[in-house]
Amino acid sequence: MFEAQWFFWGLALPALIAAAVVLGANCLSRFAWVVRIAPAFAVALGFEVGYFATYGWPNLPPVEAQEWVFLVLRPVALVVAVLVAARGGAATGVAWLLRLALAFGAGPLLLQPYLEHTWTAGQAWAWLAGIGVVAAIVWVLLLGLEKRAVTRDERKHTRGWLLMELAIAAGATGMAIMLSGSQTLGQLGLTLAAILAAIELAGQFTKYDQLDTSHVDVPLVILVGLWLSGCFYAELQTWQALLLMLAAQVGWLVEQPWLRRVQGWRVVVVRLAAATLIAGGVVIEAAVRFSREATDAYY
Amino acid sequence: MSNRVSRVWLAALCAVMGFSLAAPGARAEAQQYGLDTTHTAFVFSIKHLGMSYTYGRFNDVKGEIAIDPDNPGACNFFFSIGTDSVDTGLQKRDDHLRSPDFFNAKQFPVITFKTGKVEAAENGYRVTGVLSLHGVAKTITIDLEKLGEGKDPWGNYRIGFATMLKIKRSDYGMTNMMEAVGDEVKLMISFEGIKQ
Repeated sequence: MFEAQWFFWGLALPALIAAAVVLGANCLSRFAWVVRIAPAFAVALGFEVGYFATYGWPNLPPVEAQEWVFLVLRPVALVVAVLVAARGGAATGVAWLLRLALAFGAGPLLLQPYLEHTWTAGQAWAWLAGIGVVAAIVWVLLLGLEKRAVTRDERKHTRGWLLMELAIAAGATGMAIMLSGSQTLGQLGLTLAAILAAIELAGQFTKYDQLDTSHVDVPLVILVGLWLSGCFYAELQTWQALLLMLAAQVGWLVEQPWLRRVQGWRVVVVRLAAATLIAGGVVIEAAVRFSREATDAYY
Repeated sequence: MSNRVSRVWLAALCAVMGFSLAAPGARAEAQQYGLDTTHTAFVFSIKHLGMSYTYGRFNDVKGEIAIDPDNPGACNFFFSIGTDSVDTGLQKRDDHLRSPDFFNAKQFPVITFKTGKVEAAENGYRVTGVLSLHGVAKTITIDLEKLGEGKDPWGNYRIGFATMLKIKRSDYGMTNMMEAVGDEVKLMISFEGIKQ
């Protein structure tokens, strides 16, 4: 059950703020690095507003999983984005170290109750290493996809559409988590989806730096946090999370030899259609299971 | 001189030993009771849409009780309640209550109450302690009414208490669905202890 005002405070306002940050940076700033970093700050700021609308003020120090995402992982990812936008040799190296720290640190931060109450030491090492490796692979593949797409002149129509794919994955993550029993956690996914879609659309009217990937880290770390929280604290199934990760990566499809003939705007259509198909499938399955298990309205 | 020094050391030693023996002695004199979980109930009620009350209970309660009738300060009440055991009679609703929207049972598997101070009160005890729920610890005061004590038909010595209290779930960070599900939670608690 949504409270009506959440649609404004948790969905529309974060999206508007994010779009305003991107457009404002493009219109007002003379510095290229400000324009480059704007999408990362737009996601971080928009998510801040959406988080407060959904959960209110977080505990300090963080207590619940989503608070670790909000208070720790998101700021570190923002630092990564700044380092990437700075484009120094050392900055790039530090950014990669921080990405690795995020990929392998998200598990221990978010899954503390499992470390304390559930897992043996062996299980904990296996789980955390596995989660870290999967998160790192997702990270590397997404950054690789973005670089690969933007360095092909004939495919410049794919500019920035990675964020829309992430938006589709985030929206489906939110819906699937809601349908698996946790409304508030799911709302964060919808907030992220609205923000990313707004940035993507605003980005179509702005200058575009083809070598920039600083917009990937902040949304990705939030998504990783949602996938982990959804699987371990709500009832999101592991296979659902893996399919949603695949939906975010589906742009690799058009890099396959048998689809290389696809050019121009068709690339965008194929990428978004494939992401929607996978993510939509996850949501439909979750909806069917929800309606099968639901007996009556209990609130 | 050395004799005087020895006396001082002896006095200090006696004082330290006396203190170290007396401190735990206060609790040690209290009689320990094991919680009889089959005759213990932690029941709650909460408003639905401001129209009616929905009732539920926790089926997994563990606890320790120590009673010293002559020294209420030595009494102790400790309870640990499994949030996973919440039971409102409807599986789907219980699943939702366990989710991150409410108890977040996988992150916060237990609710605990730890005694801080116990004072004698009419027909029982006034217990001040820390209630930890949903990752938030708050000091609350409970008026425990002693319902009775004595031997049961099987020769065990029992003691039983009951209390009712109200808490606000928002005080413990449980702020979801405030329009549909009330903020104030009424707790009805009754428990029995069996002398060890």
